Amino acid sequence: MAEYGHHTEEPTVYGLIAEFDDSDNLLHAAEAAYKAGYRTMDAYSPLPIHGLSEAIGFKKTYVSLITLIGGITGAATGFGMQYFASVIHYDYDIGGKPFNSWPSFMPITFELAILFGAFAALGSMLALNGLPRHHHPVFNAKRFERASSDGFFLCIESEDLQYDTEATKKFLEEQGPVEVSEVLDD
Amino acid sequence: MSEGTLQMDQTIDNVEHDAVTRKLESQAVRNFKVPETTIKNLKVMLGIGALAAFVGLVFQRENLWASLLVNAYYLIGLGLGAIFFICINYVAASGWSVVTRRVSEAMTGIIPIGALGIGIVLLAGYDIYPAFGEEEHLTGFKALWLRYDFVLVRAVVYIAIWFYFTRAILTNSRQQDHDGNRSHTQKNARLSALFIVLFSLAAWLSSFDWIMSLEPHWFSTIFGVYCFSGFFSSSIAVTIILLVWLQKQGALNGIVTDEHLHDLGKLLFAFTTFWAYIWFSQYMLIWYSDMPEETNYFIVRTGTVWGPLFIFNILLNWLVPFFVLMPARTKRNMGILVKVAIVVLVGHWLDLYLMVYPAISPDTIKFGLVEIGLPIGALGLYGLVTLKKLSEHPLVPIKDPYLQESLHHHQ
Repeated sequence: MAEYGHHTEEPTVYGLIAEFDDSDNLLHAAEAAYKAGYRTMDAYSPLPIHGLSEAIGFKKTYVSLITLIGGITGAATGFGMQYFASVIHYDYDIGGKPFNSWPSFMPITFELAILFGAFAALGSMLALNGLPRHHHPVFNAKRFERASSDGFFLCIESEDLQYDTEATKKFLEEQGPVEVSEVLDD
Repeated sequence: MSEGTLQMDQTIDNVEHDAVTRKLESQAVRNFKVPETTIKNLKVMLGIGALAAFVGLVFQRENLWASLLVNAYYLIGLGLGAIFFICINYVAASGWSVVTRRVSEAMTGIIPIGALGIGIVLLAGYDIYPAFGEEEHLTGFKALWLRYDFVLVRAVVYIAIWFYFTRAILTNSRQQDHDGNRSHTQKNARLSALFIVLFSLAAWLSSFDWIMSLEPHWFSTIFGVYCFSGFFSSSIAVTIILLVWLQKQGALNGIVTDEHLHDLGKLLFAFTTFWAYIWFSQYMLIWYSDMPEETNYFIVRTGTVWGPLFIFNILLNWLVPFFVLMPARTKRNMGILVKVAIVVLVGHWLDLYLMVYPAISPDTIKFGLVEIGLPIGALGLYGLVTLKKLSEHPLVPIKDPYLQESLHHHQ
C-alpha cells in the first residue's frame, strides 16, 4: 500500500468487483464463487442477507473466546484484589465476619468480570476486523456508494490463491452481474 | 425499512415459501390432534397424583397441604409466566415470537387450576400458616395484613386480575383468526401494558401472602421478584419443550425454526441468570446485615439437614443452564436445549420445595409418597389441560399482522 500523498508508478490491483441488482443474485454468485474455490472475497450489501456470510465462507471468529477469557480474568482480578486486601494485607475484623467473606466480594467480582469481558469483546473485535480505518481500497470501486442504497457487490480479492485477472473476470461475468470492474489498490 | 423487508422476502425461495403456506393450511396446524397414547400416559400420571393425594389426606395431612402449595404455585406460575411473555411481546410489538404465541396461550389454561389448588390450601390447609393460628402473635401492620379474611380477599383479587386479563387478551387473539382485524393487536398491546403493572403487583404480593407468610417473622422485599424470576424462566423452559414436541409431532416443523428456538434459548439463559442475580441479592443482603429474624431463614436452609439441597438448587437453576447454554451452538441443538429446559424445571420445583418445606419441618427432610406422587399428578394434569387447549385453536395465529415477519425470522 502506497503512503498517503505519493503515487507509485503502476497501481496494484485490489481485486475484481461485480455489482448485482438484487440480493438473490448476490447470494447465488457468492455461493458459486465459494464452490469455484475462491476464498478471499467479501460481499457488500445495504441490508443484512440471511445466509450470505455462510455463502462466502465466513468462519466464527475468536471474539467470543477472547471475551470469555477477559471475563474470567476480570472475575479473578476482582476476587483476588479483595482477597488480598482483606485476608492477607489488611486483615481487619468487620462485624465479626470472617476475613474471607466471599459473599460480600461477589458484587465487585461480578462487575470486573463484566468490565474486562466488555473491554476484551470491543478490543478483540477492533483488532480482528482492523477498525478503525480511514479508507478501504473497495471505496475506489465504481458506484460503490450504492452499497448503502441499492447496490449489491461481490469483490474477489487479488490475494486469493486462485485469482487470475482473466479467468476471475470471466467467472464473475457469468454470474449475471450489472457490471464487473477492477478495483485499484491505493 | 419496508424496502428492506421486501428485499428480505424476495430472498426466500418461492418453493420454501409455498411449503410454509401449505403447512399453515394443513390439518396438523389448523386442527391439531393430541396422540391417544400421550393422553393415556398423562391420565395415568394424574391417577398416581390423585392416589398420593388421597393417601396424604388420610395419613399425612400437613405434608399434603405443603406439597399441594408447592405444586399449585408451580402450576399457576407456569401459566403466569406464559401470559407475561405474551404481554411483553405485545407491548414491544415483537414479530419474531408470533409463531410461538399459541403455545404460550395454551399454557395459560392452567391458571384457574393452579388457583384452585392455592384456594384449597388457603381454605382447608391453613394450619401450615402459623400467622392464621392462635399461638403466633403478630403486631402492627403485619397483624392487619396477615389477617386470615384479608388474605382470602386479596387472593380472590389477585386471581381475578390474572384470570380476566388473560381471558380478554386470549379472546382478542382468537377473534383475529376469524376476521384478521389489526385492531385486536392494538387492543391487546394496550391491555398488556396495563396488565403488566397489575400482574407485577399481584405476583409480588401473592408470593408474600402464600409463601413468605409460612415464616411470618421473616421478611424479604425482593421475595416477589425472586418468585417471579423462577416461574418466568420455567415457563420459557416449558415453551421450548412444547415447541420441540410439536415439531416432532409434525405440526410446527418448518414454521417454528431453529432461529425461534435459539432466541428462546437466549431468554432461558438470560432469565436463569436473572434468577441467580436475584437469589444472590436476597442472600447477600440478609447474610451481610445478619439480623436474627432475617438470618434464621438461611440458617435453617444452609444447615446440615437442608444444606446439600440448597447447593444443589443453585447448580440446577443456574450453573447448569449458564455454562451449558453459553455457546451459540448448544442453543441451536434441540437435544441439549430440551435437556437444559428439563433441568431448569426440576430446579424450579426444588426451589419452591426449599421455600416451603424447611418452614414446616426445619429439622428433618420430608420427602415421601406425597412429595413424589403430587408432582407426577401435577405434571399429568398440566399436560392434559395444556394439550387440550392447544388442540382447540390453530397452532399459529393465522391472521396476525406480524405472522409473515415471524415466519421469516432470522438472527
